[in-house]
Amino acid sequence: MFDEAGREILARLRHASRRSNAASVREELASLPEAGAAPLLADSLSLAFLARVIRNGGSCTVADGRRGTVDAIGAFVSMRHGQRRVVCGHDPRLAALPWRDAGLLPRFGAAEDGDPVAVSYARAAVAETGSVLLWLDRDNPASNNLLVEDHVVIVAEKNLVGRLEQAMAEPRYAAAETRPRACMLISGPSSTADIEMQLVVGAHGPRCWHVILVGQSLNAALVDRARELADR
Amino acid sequence: MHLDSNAFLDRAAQAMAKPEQSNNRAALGVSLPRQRSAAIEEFGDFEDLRQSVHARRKHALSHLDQYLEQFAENVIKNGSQLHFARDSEEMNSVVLDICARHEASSIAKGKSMITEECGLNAALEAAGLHVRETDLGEYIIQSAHETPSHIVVPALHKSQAEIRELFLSEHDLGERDLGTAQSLVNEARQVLRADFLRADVGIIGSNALIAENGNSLLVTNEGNGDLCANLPPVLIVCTSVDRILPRTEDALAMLRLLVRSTTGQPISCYTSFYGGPRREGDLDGPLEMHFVLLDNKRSEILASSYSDMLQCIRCGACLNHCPIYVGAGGHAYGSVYPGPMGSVLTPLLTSLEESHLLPNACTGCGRCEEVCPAAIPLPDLLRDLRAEEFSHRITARRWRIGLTVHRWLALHPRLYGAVTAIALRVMHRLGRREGVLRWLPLAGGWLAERDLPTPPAQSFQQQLHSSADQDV
Repeated sequence: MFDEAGREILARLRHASRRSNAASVREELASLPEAGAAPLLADSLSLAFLARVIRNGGSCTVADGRRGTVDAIGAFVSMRHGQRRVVCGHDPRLAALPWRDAGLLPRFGAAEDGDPVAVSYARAAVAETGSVLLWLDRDNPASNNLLVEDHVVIVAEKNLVGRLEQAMAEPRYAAAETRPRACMLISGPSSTADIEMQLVVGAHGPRCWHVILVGQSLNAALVDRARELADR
Repeated sequence: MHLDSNAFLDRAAQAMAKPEQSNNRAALGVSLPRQRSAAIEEFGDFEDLRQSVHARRKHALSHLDQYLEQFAENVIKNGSQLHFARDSEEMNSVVLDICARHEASSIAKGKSMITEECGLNAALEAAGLHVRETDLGEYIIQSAHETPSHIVVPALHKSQAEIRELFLSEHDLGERDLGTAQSLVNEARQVLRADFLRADVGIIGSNALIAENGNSLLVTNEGNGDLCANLPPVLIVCTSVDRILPRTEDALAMLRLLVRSTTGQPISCYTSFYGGPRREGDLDGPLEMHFVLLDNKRSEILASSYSDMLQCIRCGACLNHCPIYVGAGGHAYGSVYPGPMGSVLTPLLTSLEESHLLPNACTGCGRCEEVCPAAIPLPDLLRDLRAEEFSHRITARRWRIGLTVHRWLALHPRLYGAVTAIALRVMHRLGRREGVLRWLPLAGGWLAERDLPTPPAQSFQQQLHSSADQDV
């Protein structure tokens, strides 16, 4: 675990540390003051989340079920690219969508350079920051988040949480055997301000980040309200 | 670490004489503070957050040995490999070794201050490897063969026109206008995509290491770091040992401070946690993942009275608010780390002899401390470094003599009063007609660019005592 350099560094750090026993370190950690999260933009998690997504430079729509979801994806893809090809990971929720009903042709696997659109299904989403959480695994390969021009992310309303810690608190994430090799919290399209601090979208990752929030009682008016809230 | 800090004054003067370069800094010095203030106001109890994160980091640093052991155990459990480097040479040698084992020829790099500190790129290139910086700002300065001038916006000193010229000459893509920032970014995206796809090794930095699960936090807006972390078959994370935090929730609390302090955003576009190589069934990701943890004097700093400096999260807020940084620019500091944080860290990582001008590059305004999300007492640390400079006789002789005389006088108040009373009367007589003094013995240099308003004939103390006498 520790090579020669590591043992030397560890010895130096031990010398500089307080050398308490493990139990008292754990106790001290537990006693540290909690930190607050950013306030939500609205009382409704859905409204707060969508408003943040818009403020972050994303676009969004809502759907009330599976058919509405594929229709929304179809509308987005044909508007942006005039064709109906998308790539998706092996998330069973993606496989279960009625793609054909919207005339869509998904390829299941990892995106390649040149693929215009990838569709992902978020593990969770965070209203505090307008973020979607995606584990990087067979269900959602990293390439699908990064290589494409447009990234569509489906969020089920029931997976929406208030703050970042809640999204990362899943029990399967805590255990090494079930934790994915990596995960990403995505909160906007790829952007940069490296040229005279001008904000430009589409640096290396997707230019367009489109979120579809799915829930039984959701309707289009929610997106209008989110836009108004985002502009305030 | 490559250092040229003792040329600070000359370089600062040169930088201030070039207004076209200082425009970007002047804009940064207004816009980023404004964005930060707006973000903090929206957040609400930012001070509470600051204190909470400070306490967590202090706790982690106080028990860094135990957290490092916990981190190491989890790195191994995740299937990653762990290496250590006592100094820059060792860091470079470890990375080279990993690259050689994989017969790597092409590297895609995310932004990493630690690798700048170690001069990793030069070491890799000397060994015949092709290294491509993929963060747009770092790519621009790499192509221009320059060094970063800001720890977050490395190409701050380059105008859009200069970047356009650079791309037109570096990229063989035929006739095109490149007249907008968008078109420049589009071109960089196109050119760099090939580098991501062909790289044998991806090298990234880390914003935090998580002891409880062996993960590394990566914060970017471009997504370039994530491309480096996921596409090449080998991933190397280079960072320093002091980056360890106990839990994911500590990293998330720190994240809230970091991004608001850097750009005023509530969160970065991409916030990723990387722990291990591809799992069974994964369709992409690195086949091997390595961590290289650097000491390079962090353990010494931890044991010293400057240990608060290890709390720095590299947000750049102190640079953005520092009148010296905005005036002189990052290159004047001659160090990988400029601005207030650099003026403390550079002498600690190198020596005061080589960098003593930096702690003196300070007006004492205190803005750095006010805005530091890690609550580092920067003005105090700068003052302590100046005190060390004095006690080690590094300060220029005439300054040491002047300071010693002043200290002696200040310890003898009556004599201090008598001497200053004479000085005031003389200065008043000399400057009475014009109302300002443009020259004084021993202050010619200071007054070369300043006018000193003529002081009254009597000091405040003298006036106070004489009016008190009258009242009685």
